[in-house]
Amino acid sequence: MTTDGIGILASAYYLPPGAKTAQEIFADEPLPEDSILGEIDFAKDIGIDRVHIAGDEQPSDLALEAARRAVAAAAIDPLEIDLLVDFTSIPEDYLAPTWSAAGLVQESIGATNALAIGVNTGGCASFHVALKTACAWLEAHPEADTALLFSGIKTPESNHVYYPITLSCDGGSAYVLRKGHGRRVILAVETATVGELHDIWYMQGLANREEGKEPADHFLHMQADLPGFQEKVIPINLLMFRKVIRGALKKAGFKMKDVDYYVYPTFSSWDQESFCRGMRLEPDQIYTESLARHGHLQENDMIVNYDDAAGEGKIADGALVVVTGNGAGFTWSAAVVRD
Amino acid sequence: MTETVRVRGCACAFPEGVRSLEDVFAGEGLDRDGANGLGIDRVSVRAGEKGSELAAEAGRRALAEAGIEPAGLGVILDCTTSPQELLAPAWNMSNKLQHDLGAKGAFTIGLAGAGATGLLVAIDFATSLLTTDESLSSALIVASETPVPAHRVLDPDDPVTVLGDGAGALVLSRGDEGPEVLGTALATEGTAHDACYIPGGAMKHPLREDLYRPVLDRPTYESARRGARVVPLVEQLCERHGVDRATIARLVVPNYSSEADAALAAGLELTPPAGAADNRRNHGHVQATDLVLNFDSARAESASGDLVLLASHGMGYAAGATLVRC
Repeated sequence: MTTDGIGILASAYYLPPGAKTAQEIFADEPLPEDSILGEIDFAKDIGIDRVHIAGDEQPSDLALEAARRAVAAAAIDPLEIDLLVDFTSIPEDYLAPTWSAAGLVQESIGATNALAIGVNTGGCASFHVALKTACAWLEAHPEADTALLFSGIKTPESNHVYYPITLSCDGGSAYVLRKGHGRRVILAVETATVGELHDIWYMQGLANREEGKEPADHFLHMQADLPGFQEKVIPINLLMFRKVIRGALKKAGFKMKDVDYYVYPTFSSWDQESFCRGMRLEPDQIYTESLARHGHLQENDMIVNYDDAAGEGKIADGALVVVTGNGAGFTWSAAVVRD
Repeated sequence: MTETVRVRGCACAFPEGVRSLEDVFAGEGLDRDGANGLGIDRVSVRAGEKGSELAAEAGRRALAEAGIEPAGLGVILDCTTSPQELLAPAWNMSNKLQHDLGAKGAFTIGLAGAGATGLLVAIDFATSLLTTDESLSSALIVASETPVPAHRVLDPDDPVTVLGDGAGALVLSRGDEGPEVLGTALATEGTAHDACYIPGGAMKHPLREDLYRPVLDRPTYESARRGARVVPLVEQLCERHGVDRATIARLVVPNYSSEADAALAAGLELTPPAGAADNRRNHGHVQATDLVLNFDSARAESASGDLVLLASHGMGYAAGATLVRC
């Protein structure tokens, strides 16, 4: 999809003040005894110093704070918002898909004119799926010109270790799309799903527990089919990234050599190295600095890393940026953005 | 791109099991008199079938009618309202469905928080994607409802409906064949986001099994404008497409209750298809699947060129209307 003329008017994120060091996390959440990472030591090599912890804040509180910041940064009246999308990918305050924080955020910020809805695909690729859907909707609705998209992630207690990938961090992000805005213009979004991998990473849920089992925290914990992850996801991971990145670039009329900068999820030091190696990137072509600061914010990584990279002067005006990620489902996605 | 979007396939799949209204009320310890006026005699119930299995069956039927191979689908949208077989939104049924159907070319979207109106949101999103992305030619929309067992009566103190199991699917594609989707108008009232929801099993009450059931907050529910919110959306839609409301041949609404459905129809001054009352009597309220089922009845009764209006109000609080020309 080429979406000329829709740009990111403003973006923002919120990290709750509470935090735990990686060492504290590992003390609370022991790692599996059998490592599947070969020479890599998950705890020593991960590259994450600490993660933020929401404490008493609910997912919607994190989302709402980010949404308010984005609306303020955009300097718009909430009444101007035509579409309000919640792209949170892990459980929110109340049970999905019956409930979404979209309605709560609509009420709280006074976006009375908006259509408020939750859009996700399972996992971090919710960012791109929501972006693609919102851009299509804006383009197809001449009467609409503004969308606010947000996510609020609160990791269930004792579930910050996502072995063998990362440490999960709490926080929210939000951004405002506007037709005709000439910066951070969304040129194309490409997304590809391999549904066979739908249950490689999942949360079981209270009602889906085995008969006779008592309610317990771990039914809201992220579970992994580790053999499946190793055998089915890892071998195709870089291939799928190349597929969606090339696909998005082609739709936008560009090639890989035209890309100035990459915004990529924050997983681990070895994952960042693998991506750089596989995509043949120079260190100054991709933002990796946030890894130590806060770990993986799920789909919020996209906005957090873009904002931080831009704030540190790493993205030149007019740069061609690829925002890419993958997520449980399993879905790989890429957006081409003209900064 | 200016091609029209058409409904190429429309199908439902219900489990074979059935429970009478008496059984449902007795099973939940409720007085049968509370069911009076609902216009529901029985609901379809699963006997172990998964929601994704019902969804896949409905999807296959709709694709077969459309004459479209699953591999040709560009996107699958899941507008299910009920809790899914693994915890949403970390898991979404649309991904499993992509695999089960062999729809390898489709990316997936899950919607949340719009109740029965989720179908109209899905139609609007699918239409938007199909008309702005030339690489996408067809979309599958699915809802598969599997209510929390033993909590099918919504608001036991003053029942508003009874929830049944079942799945519905629509196939939309660009082209010239099939009923044409003219447009959709939607609105949500965030002030009523918790009019009807399931409080337990997520982050606020993770271990509260007693709250793992749909709760209707009566004051909030009453404050949501419900049917009244649909009327201006219909007017907006008719004006946008140059349609005189009086020329709309059939009205398709969710199967809440005979009283609620009649009130919505009266408010819009339109007539549901003759089959709608039986659909509600035999299946109860199956959320977005109601709209698929009743649309199927409406198109069977419609002549070429007839206008059919799908209208809904549901959790979120979301209201919507979609206009289709048969």
